[in-house]
Amino acid sequence: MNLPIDELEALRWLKETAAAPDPLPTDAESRVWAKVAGDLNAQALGQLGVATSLSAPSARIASGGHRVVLSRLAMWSAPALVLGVIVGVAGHAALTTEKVVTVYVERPESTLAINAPVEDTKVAPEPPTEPVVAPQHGSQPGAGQVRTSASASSSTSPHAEGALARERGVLDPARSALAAGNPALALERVKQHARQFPSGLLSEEREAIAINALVQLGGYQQAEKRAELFHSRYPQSLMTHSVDAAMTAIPR
Amino acid sequence: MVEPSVSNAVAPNPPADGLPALPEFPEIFATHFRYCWLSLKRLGVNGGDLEDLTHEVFLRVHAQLLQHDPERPLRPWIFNIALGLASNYRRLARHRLQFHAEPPERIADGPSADERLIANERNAMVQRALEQVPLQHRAVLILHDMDEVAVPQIATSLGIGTNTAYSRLRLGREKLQPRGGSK
Repeated sequence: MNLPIDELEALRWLKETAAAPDPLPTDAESRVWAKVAGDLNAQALGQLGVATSLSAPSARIASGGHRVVLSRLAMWSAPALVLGVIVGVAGHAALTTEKVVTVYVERPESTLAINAPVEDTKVAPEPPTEPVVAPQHGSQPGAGQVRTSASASSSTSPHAEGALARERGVLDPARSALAAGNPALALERVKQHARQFPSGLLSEEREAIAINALVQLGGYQQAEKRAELFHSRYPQSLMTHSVDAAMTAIPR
Repeated sequence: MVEPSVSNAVAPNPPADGLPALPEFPEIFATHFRYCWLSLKRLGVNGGDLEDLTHEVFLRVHAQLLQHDPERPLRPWIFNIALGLASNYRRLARHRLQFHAEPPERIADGPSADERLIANERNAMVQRALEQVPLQHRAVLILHDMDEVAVPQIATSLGIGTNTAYSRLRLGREKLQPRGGSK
């Protein structure tokens, strides 16, 4: 059996297939998420300054004509995960005064029940006395938030949420400018971020953008110094790849 | 596809200053998992390898999120990452000389058995037809004719010229249609 010879008909078949694709295996998304989150946690837990654990991907529901993304929280979480979070938080708290810990919680494979939104837990300056896990709340699915981090947390103070949003407001244009081939503007935005948020929650991202921008502007020495500092401050950063790529672009 | 529009997926919550913001990674995963899986499948990844490849795509998405321009749609960008991995996969798979039988899949509840049968047959036919199309042409064909991405946007996402994208689309459509005979 072949596709219809007529081109328009063939295109119609393509569109029909796109509109009604093969169903996916029932728990494929949970399984893949568990792997992805596990790998990311393995990288992040050893990272000084940032403690990251598993986080549930958002569940999607239709609401009011819009697709609303809900965060899911697992009924259970692995004890090792909790231990990892504690270690990470303690290390982090020793170095910095304020930062966001993104708590990624693995989703149970067999249940579709939505228990609670994923939370971001703001790390107190002192090491926590209790395990830092995303607390469960009695939220109803319809009450979920679109964004899973920073905006979703009842344990994150409104102040921190606002700060993160403000930081993003400065850094996102920097990232856009870099991607659009305008490193000078990116650097300007980065400097603005550094002035406004010297110990900001997105300092790590800021440094990675700055290093990339400097390389593109030909400020190789400065870029190398900042990269060195970056590696020492964030030895297992998820942005290491980006920084290293920038370094390899420096003509030797 | 029936997925939310790209713009909605990218910036569900524009910040107060009107600048687009990238969604958080878990949200990106939840929104684009299905799309990524299906794209890999259309790009020729065998059923038994889809989980691994999808996993790999999202690791790369996470690692490269910094490079993504939040003003551009995420979906074609993710597709391009999937295309790179599918391309490598096919190169390696060619040397394996191994037949991958589709594993039995547990399918979620949905349409009736008859409807599913018809849809499965149609989808399998489309999949077989797509496999006749060279990967680079197929990528443009999928993005344009199935995902409804505009050609200039495809060209930007794949890093090719607009004329090249149009040419690949035309060639892809030509190769999609078998000239007579049944398989």
